[in-house]
Amino acid sequence: MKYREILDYCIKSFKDKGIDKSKCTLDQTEKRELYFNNGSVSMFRTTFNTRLSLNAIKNDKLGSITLNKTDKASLDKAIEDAIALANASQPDPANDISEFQPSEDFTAGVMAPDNDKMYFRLNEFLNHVKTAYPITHFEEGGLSYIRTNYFFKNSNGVDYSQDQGEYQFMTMFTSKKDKKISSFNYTYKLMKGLDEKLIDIVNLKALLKQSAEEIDAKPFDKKFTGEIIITPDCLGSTLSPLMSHLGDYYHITGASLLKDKLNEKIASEKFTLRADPVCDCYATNNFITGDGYKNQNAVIIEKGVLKTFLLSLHGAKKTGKARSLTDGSNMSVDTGDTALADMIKNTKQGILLSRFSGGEPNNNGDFSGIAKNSYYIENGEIKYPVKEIMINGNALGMLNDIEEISKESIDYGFSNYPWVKIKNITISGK
Amino acid sequence: MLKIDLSKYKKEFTEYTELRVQENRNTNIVLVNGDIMDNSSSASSGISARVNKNGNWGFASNPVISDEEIEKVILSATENANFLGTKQSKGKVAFQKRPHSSQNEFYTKQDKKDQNAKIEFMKKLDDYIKTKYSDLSSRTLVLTALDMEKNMITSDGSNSYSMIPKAHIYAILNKNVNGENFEVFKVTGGSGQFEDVFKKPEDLFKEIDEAYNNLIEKTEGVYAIAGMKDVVLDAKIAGILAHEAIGHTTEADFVLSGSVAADYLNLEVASPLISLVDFAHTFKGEKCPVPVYIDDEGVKAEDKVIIENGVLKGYMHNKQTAMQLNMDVTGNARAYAFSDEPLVRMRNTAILPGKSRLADMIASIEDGYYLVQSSNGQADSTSEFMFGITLGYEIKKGKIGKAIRDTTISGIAFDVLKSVTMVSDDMDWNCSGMCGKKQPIPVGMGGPAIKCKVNIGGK
Repeated sequence: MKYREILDYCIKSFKDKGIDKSKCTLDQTEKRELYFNNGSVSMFRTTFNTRLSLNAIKNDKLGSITLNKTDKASLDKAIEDAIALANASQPDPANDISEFQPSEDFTAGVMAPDNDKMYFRLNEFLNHVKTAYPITHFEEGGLSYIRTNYFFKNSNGVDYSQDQGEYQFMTMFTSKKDKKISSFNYTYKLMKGLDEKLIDIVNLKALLKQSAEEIDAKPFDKKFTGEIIITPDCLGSTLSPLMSHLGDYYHITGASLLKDKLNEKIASEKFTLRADPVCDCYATNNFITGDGYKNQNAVIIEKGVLKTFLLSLHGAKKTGKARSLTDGSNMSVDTGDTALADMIKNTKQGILLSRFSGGEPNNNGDFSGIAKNSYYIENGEIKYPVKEIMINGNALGMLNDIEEISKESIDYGFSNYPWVKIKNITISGK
Repeated sequence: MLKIDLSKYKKEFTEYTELRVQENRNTNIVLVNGDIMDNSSSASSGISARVNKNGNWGFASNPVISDEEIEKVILSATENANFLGTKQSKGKVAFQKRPHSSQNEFYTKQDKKDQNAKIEFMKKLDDYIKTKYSDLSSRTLVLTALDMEKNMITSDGSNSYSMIPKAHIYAILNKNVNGENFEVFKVTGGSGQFEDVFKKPEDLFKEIDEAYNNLIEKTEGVYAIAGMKDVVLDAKIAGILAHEAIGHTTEADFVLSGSVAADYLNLEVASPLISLVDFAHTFKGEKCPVPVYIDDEGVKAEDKVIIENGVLKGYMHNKQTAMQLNMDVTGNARAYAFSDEPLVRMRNTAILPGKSRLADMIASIEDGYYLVQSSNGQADSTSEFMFGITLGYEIKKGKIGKAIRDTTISGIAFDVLKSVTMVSDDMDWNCSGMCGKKQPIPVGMGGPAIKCKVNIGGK
């Protein structure tokens, strides 16, 4: 059986066995990876995998099975197992599937890898780093090509597919001279092609330069309330608590701090946050939401005002709120009107925060953790790299304390972030 | 299920080759306020081969397990190594040969429980919480179980079959007080399948009661006072410190890429009270939480002493790092999924118990903290670490005081270990978390409580 036939078979089998509603997805993934460590390419890896997910709902009771086999015997067993799970479950009217929508097939990205070019680009990068950044060492990294062929069907007749191919580059590095060592740092990018040299992507040159400088990072004994400039490399993880409070779990448990804030101002009016899962501007796309709708681009926060939660069909039914039209992927923050250089010049005392190692913020959004790969700023000048510096704040409250957003931004292929300056952050040394 | 004879494929090996057939099976049940939010099981199986030719590794995998596909995967891995060989040559490698054969499977001998019985178990636990603690704003129960079944052979003469299970239940309790949300979590479980780890729901009621009491203490808790403090790290946190902050720096692949431990071999890196070992499978005659008898390169897994009486004694290796550093292999090469290559990973990393009593350790602190539970932890190649603290108490004049609100601790792990002045005489193991390093992997962490100095976040 081919892909769609497999899903048709499963849905028909569920129907024949008295299942009210079913949802079935199948993805076929091909991955090629050139892996490197200690400065040279060490492994070439090719992997293929299948992921078949079957969801059966009977009398509002849900059972889910995931397997990576598609032969008939495996399918028949998985169908029986999913039904057994549903029978064992508890009824919940929020268990549902998306309603009928016209079928559509989506294709995006690069459809075949170029193994030779992958090796060429990676070797070129490793040789460049060896020469230009002689004290910097790679802990690990890889240049990969991933192609995923994804099919979604449900018993309401929803029938989508997405065929997507992309390159991924990840590198993790540290610098060392004599016995002085820097914190590790890393970066990541998804790409449509390999036309650009890897050294020129994202903020990599700056990060490698900083890594070498950071062997001389030093602690300070100050404690002050100051400003932090969050770099694009750090902004995504800074925003993840916000995403949690917009999503299903926090709303269903009632713990979301934003549950009553729709269409209210929750951030500085300088702050606009978007999700663009189907924008061609990114190297990767998500045309189909996990719950079976055609995905849409959307503004999540517009000039500080919360415009949408990120609730799935299940989350929406559980809470009585509207289902989000976007799944929240491919996020970006709108650029501002301040040049990065001016942003630094305007900073009286603070930290340029490139990486943050922190505890999970508690349910009230309070967080604390260590500033990594970061610099001390005083009177408009970057003074020196720091270590053992702690930062305290509130992940949601600080959105209201945004002072400036840079004109510049960095495209990671699945997100696009500028530098963001935030005031009233507690910064403490040893 | 995967007990197929792999030796017949050895004729396909032309270079150094590892061939593995593997299945990971997961069960998940999630209840939020009594509603089943996840009721699923999954299985992922397949074959992989890894080949080394002139220093270049080739790897290939496929989910279809058949004679034809196994031969194709071996060929594909060999071709991948050849592809790199057309671009670069690293010279002939000579890995240490330690052929070993191992069979270890930990299937339950109890009657298997179906999903219905497991859901019933979880519902009973939830009913207990709902009935007894009606003032909670929300309650979440998560059952997660993993069976890892592996069958492998290597071209240098090793073969193994293993099935290593683990099962855990997480309880997350929330209480809203004056608009502020407080949370605690409790993890129970460990090595074994569900039937061996969880006999009846009533066995967990005490743990739930303890979690609820911790939650009430937190609602009345105070902010920690930020700064360098004397603390007692409870066994669970000492175990994370051993794993995250020390263990990773002594994985030989990180040593080769410049971790701080590269400069410390045979030097004093900790208080003489500290000894730290990565146990393979057995501690004091008992099975460790994640027993590894043979690694995924076919090397017999043996205990590796990392720190002995404060002195750094060695690193954890795979075949390649052992060759590069001219040291003995240790059996630390482990892969998570069938489609993953083995990496240098820890197994059961623990600080060894000392001679002090926990009560005496607390009594010895004038003004500090007793830190009990951590939510997450991260560490650096410098051994600088950060752990989120979700349960802890003030210590005032040698006595436990008020609970503290969530905070973080940080420090340079080797400096923290040098500041250790007392080590408790007990030991606590857990394997609830997964270690992340390119791939996830189950690991055991253990330790006694230690008295030391750390930097604590707070007001």
